[in-house]
This record gives sequence, C-alpha cells and structure tokens, in this order.
Amino acid sequence: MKDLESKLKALRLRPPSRNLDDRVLAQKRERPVAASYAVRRVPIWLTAAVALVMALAGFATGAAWRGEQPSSAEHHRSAPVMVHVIYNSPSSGNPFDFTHASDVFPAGKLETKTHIEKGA
Amino acid sequence: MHRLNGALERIYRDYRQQMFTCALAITRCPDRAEDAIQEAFGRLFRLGRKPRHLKAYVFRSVRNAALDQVRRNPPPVNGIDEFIFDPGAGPREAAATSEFERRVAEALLTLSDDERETIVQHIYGNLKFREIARVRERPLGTVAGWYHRGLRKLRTRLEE
Repeated sequence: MKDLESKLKALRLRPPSRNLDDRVLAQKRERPVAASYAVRRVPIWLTAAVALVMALAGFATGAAWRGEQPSSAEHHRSAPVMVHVIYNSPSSGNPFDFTHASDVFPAGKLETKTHIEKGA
Repeated sequence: MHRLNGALERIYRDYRQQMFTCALAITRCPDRAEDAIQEAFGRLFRLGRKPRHLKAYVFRSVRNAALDQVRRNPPPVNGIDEFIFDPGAGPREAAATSEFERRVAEALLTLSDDERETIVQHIYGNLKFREIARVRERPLGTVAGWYHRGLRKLRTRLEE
C-alpha cells in the first residue's frame, strides 16, 4: 500500500490556470465597504455604562438646579358646591327645575341643617 | 474581518493546487473547477466570523461549490482527458509515466465517488483523515474505510 501511495504521489498534477489568482483575490478587494458599518465596534457593556453615568449626571445636575427648596404642586382644587333646594327655594319656585342650582356655595365645608316640619 | 480575509488568502496561496485538484476530481473539467474555487472564495470573503476549523471549512466550501457545478452540468462519463493529472507530455516526460498516469486515472474513475474523492483528498489534497472527515461531515472511521477500500481496488485494477 505504501508503495502504491508513493507512486501516486509522484504523479504530476494538472495546475490551475494563471489567472485563477486574479479571479479569486479580486473578490477580496471587491468586498462591499457598507458591510463594515453593520459591525458593532463599541461593546454593549461600554454603551450601558456610559448611559448609566449620563443618567446619574443628569439627576445630579437637576438636583443642584432645584437647590434645597422643597417643591410642591397643587393637584386638586375643591369645586364649589351646588345645591338644589326642592321645596321653598328662595330663587326658584319650581321644585322640578333641575337645570340650574338654587344656591351655589364657595369651596370649603358646607354645613347643612335640615328642618322637618311635622305634618308636611 | 481583515484578519479573516488575510487568513483566507494565506490558505488560498498555500493550498491552491490541492483545492484545484480536489475540485477537478469532482467536476472533471478544469474551467468548472476554477469556477468552483472562485465561487467558494467569493462567499468566504464575505464571512462575518472565523469558522472553527478554517482549512477544513475552506475545502468544504470549495467541494460544495464543485458539487453545485456538477449538479448544473454533469461531468462527462469518461472524462479522463481532463482528469487531475497533467497532460502536458513534454519531451522530458517519459512515455512510461504518461502511460501509468492514464491507467491510474482510468482506475480512479472506476471507483465509487466517495472512494475516489477520499483518495484524491488524502494523497493530492494533503488532507489528514480527520480533516477529510470535517470536510465531508462524516465519521473518521467511514473516511478511513473509503480510503483503504478504494486503494485496495486501485491496486487490484492496476495489477490487472
């Protein structure tokens, strides 16, 4: 077997043509440049670290801008109280007229007294 | 990316003849063997990352491109004139060598595709059995079996 192998190895092989090198290696130079833009050159951990540092710097700058003064915001303002008096209203004689209030009270506490007449 | 292309170019320059011979054993047409190499390297130069066994990967790419060529244009039934051996019978070349080349080529063409390709890859492609197993994506034992069986058949046919 070794003898046959060495005889086979001694045979002359057909060479490729001379222009094969040009044909093959020209493709290396023709590689599209645009493909390199798709490659991420900055590692993801560095991107995340920079984002974190920027966020902390933003919060620190905001705190320094506001100073030590507490800030407050008014979220709710009490609405005026609208009351409709059904019977014996001073402004309307019609007890079934619900289109407007009989009386409007400013915002705040409204104390009511109910007087029930016997026999009414 | 540039490093990978540099490594591919080195492999091309170091194994140019071997790749051509392996591709020619499949296509049995020098032009189509060269087309296969060009096509394979066209794809290889666009690879995003370096494969694990680069040499075997390159040989596998060339082999696949050669098989594509054969699928598109089947090789001649008796393509001995355009087989892997150099037909350039110059004045220096002994007639006996030329006759032996012809007989080897004829005997190789009677082997199965797997046996012939493995003998060519091992003897003329300078690939180890482990590398051929990677190229062909077959177990090492199968590749060694193809080789030894093919070589036995070859010897028998050359002795006839």
